Amino acid sequence: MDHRALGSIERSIAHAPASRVRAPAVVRFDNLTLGYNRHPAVHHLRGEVAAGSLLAVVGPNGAGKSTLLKGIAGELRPLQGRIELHGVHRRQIAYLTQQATLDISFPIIVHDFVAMGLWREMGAFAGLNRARRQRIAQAIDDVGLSGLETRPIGSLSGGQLQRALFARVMLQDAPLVLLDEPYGAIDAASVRDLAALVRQWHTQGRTVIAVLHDLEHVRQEYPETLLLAREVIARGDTAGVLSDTNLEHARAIAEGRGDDPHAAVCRSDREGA
Amino acid sequence: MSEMLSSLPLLSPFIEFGFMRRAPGRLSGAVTRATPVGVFLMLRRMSLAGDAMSHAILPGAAVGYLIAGLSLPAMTFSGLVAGLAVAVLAGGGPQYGDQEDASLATFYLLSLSAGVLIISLRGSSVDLLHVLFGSVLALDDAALLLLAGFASLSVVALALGLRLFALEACDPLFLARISRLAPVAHYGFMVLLVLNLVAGLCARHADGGGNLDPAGGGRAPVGVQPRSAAADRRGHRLRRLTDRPAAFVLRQSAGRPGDRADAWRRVPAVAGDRTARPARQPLAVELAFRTLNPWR
Repeated sequence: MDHRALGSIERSIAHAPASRVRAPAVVRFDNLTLGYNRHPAVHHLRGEVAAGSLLAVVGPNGAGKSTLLKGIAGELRPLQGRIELHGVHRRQIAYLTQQATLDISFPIIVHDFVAMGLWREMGAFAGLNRARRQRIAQAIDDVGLSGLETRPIGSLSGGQLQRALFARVMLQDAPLVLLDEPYGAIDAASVRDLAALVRQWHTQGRTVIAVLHDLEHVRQEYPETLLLAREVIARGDTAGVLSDTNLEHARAIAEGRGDDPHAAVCRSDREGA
Repeated sequence: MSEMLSSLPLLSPFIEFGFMRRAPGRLSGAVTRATPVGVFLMLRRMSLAGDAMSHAILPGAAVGYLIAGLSLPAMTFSGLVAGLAVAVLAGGGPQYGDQEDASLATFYLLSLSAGVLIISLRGSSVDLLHVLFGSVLALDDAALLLLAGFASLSVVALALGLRLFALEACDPLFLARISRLAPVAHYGFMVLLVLNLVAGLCARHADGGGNLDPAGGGRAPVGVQPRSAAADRRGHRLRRLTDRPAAFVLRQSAGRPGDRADAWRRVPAVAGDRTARPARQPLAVELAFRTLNPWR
């Protein structure tokens, strides 16, 4: 892709009309425990992600970050407690998973792939009218893929494919956006451009929850952070949450050195037993 | 005039015999219904599953034969029931992994054997040949109408579900997240597949197609035979044979000048570079899918 085009993405986003979401989404956790095969991965989560939040979820591997997103998206049934969604239906959530499930050998071109994001308004039968074509073109332009509309998705690089996935998310026009490690294996320029898109979603009033590993990026881009290590270690202002003490505590728990050495068993369940 | 035409060796069979006049009609029906379904089977990486299901229908049809003899409606109905049962039991998901391939290959051989055994319980070897390979003489108007009905039903179902089927084949989890129609797409396609397989069985019964792959084009070039270097070479040759004309049409069909230039750029890369896209679909399948174009 043309690198000069990459540099213009932030400008084009800055000039793009900011369409605010109609009903901001709120996510509430009520004593939520999520896991697999009755083994908890996230314990007793309580609290709320306020409307229009830009929240980073960080923590060591196996901390339950992706599990939490799966729970919010409704792909994992809580073992205990519940997740309440306000202002958004589960099928309105835009969820970008860590490993895209799409078959990249599928002979679909970038334009049609991005058009999938319009499913909620187009359904199985509506055609692409001029307004929809313009929106698709705008989304492709916003992610810096202009000129590649007729390329099959299988011929895109990893970064370009991630941009196409972001363009599809844009067209979903979702009040709640879940991103699971969206910048894995892509170059710095792509990270910068896609981060600009996430900022734009935030200013439009969308609630964005992103699982991330790059703590420097989180410090720069995300005002709020949730530090997880199978349970909540800290939550709130990013600078305060990402303190050395909290990070060491999270690592200790993940490695079984903390006060939760048998993390597969829920602490409060043990206390109750 | 007709005497003059009858004297032409290529035309005379069509003039003299009714079943030969009906044969092109049966052929166009089969092409119309089976090609798009075969394309989707390959796109979903289910060509082997299609093969296995086509054979799973045989024992069902054989039970129909056992009960009602060589009756097309009875064999069609029992074949349909068997096919739908297998589709539901198998779940019809995309196929990945060698183990699953091996079990599917075993399953279809078992089905074929069971079908032959059941037919042999009642009928003679002539009946067996008739059920397995059909008879071109049986292609009467009623059979042709039945096949035309299957083809029409298949085309209408495909037109209604085209975008759903495409979305489900490309990114099934995405569809499951955004729409409650995901199970409709999944099982709808399986029902469409079974309908096509049963239509293939009817066609075989009626006209002696002799083809144990009734989905028509559903089988991948590698098929189910054991892999060998020679088979691989054959597969590559076959793919080159189909890729080149498909590449040419893809280039020519690109509409705007920009698109055409892009097609010129990408087709040689797609056709030539096997390492860049090791799991790519044959260009003929890509061409067929682009022709269907669910996001028009």
